[in-house]
Amino acid sequence: MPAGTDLDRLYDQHAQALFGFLLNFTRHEGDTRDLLQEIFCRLATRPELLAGARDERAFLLRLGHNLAIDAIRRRATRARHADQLAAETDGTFAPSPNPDEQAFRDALDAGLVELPPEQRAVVHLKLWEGLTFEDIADTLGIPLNTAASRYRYGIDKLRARLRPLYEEIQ
Amino acid sequence: MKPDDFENHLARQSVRILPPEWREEILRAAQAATPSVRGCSPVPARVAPWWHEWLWPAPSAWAGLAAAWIAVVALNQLAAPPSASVQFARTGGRTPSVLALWFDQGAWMAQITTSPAERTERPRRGTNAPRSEVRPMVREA
Repeated sequence: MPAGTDLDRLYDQHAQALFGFLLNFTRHEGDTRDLLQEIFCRLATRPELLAGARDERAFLLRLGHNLAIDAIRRRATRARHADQLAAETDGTFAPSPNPDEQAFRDALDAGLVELPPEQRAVVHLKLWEGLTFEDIADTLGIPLNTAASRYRYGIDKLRARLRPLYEEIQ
Repeated sequence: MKPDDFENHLARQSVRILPPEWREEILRAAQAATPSVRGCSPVPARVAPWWHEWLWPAPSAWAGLAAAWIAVVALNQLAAPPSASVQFARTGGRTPSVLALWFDQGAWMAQITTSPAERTERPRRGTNAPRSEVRPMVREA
């Protein structure tokens, strides 16, 4: 059974990364909070989960990813219409004092919503967690080529959507 | 693969900060869940028997294996030839060899109970003799 300090340490070291990834993946703050609680509940009741983990961050991201997939499916079955599902999305990025940058972030959020969740997961881990494709493949349990191709498809879609705005602010 | 300027610009966008008030709530909930098994393992680790650790990681695999064995045994039972007692019950004891013996015995009994005269005069059943040729059967005293 992990001591309270271990849970505290795990939370302080990894919760922010988990929050960003889960928020971008689920696009729902409420689900993100529930998932974070579920992750730490499992760590508290089954400390052996982390015993064999080579990389704590990768293990926790993988656990969060698996739990998030179930959460997305549950929310999709609850939502009666696609527009209702789209309306429930929450932004991933912090507000910016620069209006042009804020407009870019809003457009980026909208572009990420349009990506399939699995492409969105890879893009987030590559851009905002700085993982290599090998680490991403290991974290998500997918082949290396699949990780690379999902990233490429996701980035190309974002590039096509955001190019006009990006060129304006350059 | 080196990221281009566009990717670098995306990476510089700041992700939202985790709400600070969540820390206490989540850690308190995790600590409260420690002595119970709410939502996690169905059997507390401290009271789990030895077989739980062996079976639980893959209960569906073990259940599938058991179901496969049951199916194999059931199919084997269905495909097996019936036992001697089952066969006797189905035919009422009248196996082909027994039936053949029965008819032979009946023919033999018919032979020893009728006289040679009767055997020759009495038309056999099923013959095609005209009715005028049929003589009533009269037993000699």
